[in-house]
Amino acid sequence: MGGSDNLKTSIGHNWQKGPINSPTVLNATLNIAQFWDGRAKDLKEQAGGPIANPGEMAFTHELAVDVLKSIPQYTSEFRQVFPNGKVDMANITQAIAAFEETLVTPNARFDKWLKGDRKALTAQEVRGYQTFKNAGCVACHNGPAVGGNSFQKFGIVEAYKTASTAQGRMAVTGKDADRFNFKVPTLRNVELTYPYFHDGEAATLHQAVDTMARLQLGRTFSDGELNDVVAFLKTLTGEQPNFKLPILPPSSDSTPRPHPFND
Amino acid sequence: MKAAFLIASAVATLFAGAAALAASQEPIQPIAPAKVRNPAMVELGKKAVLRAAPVALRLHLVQLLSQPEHGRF
Repeated sequence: MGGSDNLKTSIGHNWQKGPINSPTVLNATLNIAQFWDGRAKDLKEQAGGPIANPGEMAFTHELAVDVLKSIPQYTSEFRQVFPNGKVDMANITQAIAAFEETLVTPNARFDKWLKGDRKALTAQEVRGYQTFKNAGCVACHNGPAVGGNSFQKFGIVEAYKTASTAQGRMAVTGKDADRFNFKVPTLRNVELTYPYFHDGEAATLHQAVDTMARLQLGRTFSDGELNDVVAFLKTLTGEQPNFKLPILPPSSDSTPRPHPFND
Repeated sequence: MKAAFLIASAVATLFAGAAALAASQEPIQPIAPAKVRNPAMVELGKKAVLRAAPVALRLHLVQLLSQPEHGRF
């Protein structure tokens, strides 16, 4: 829901527990980079990651290519779509990225309000937006995606206590200054993308907003302020992608068979 | 008649401009709908993603059924 799996951390191949909460794929094209630590510069680079990650799909790129190459309808479509006609990882990830670029969620009630429809939000939701702005949340959560466009330290005023071993951006840059710097997540559709934070430890929006206000801004929101901000955040739910599921082409006799249980 | 139409058009343009200006001054901007440049490539990408999706969906359903106390799926 909301382009996420709604699990604290995802389940990988052979029931492996993922190390980190899966970010939503919706509006991911607006992100400065992909993954919490930004290790993929764009959607094309991101698309290749999970396929070969032993903790996720546990495929190899070669096997993924072999599967698609073995299916005549795919080879035909790759010839039609790409000038070089190749079924290779470069073209596969480019196609996946092209699909993911379409997964945007326009026309949220907040968007309508921004465009001048003053009736699109209730008084409480407008109040929540004002609190969101005045408290300083917009310093990081801004732009069309309401986030996704910078890396910030999680735990500025107060350290964040977690059992997660994720180090954030430091895993990419190697710089100690980047420890616990994570990509600021988009808040678009945030009411649908629970649980929250890189470790998925915040189960509800109220909990997430309260934690962020204290740890990032040194603010303790009143119950009224919390309710207002949460009401505002729910106005960021846009039109969800609605597409017809394709009929997948059948495998051929030479298609490598799946072995989900290592048998 | 023509003058009234021109005035109405000018007022409408003014309001639209004011609304656009107000939106541009906010720290959050509206999301634009997706522009599909190559529908065939999008369709191919969709198939490539969904080829693996049934496995993930099955895992998700088993997780749901084995942990009904979560109750928020």
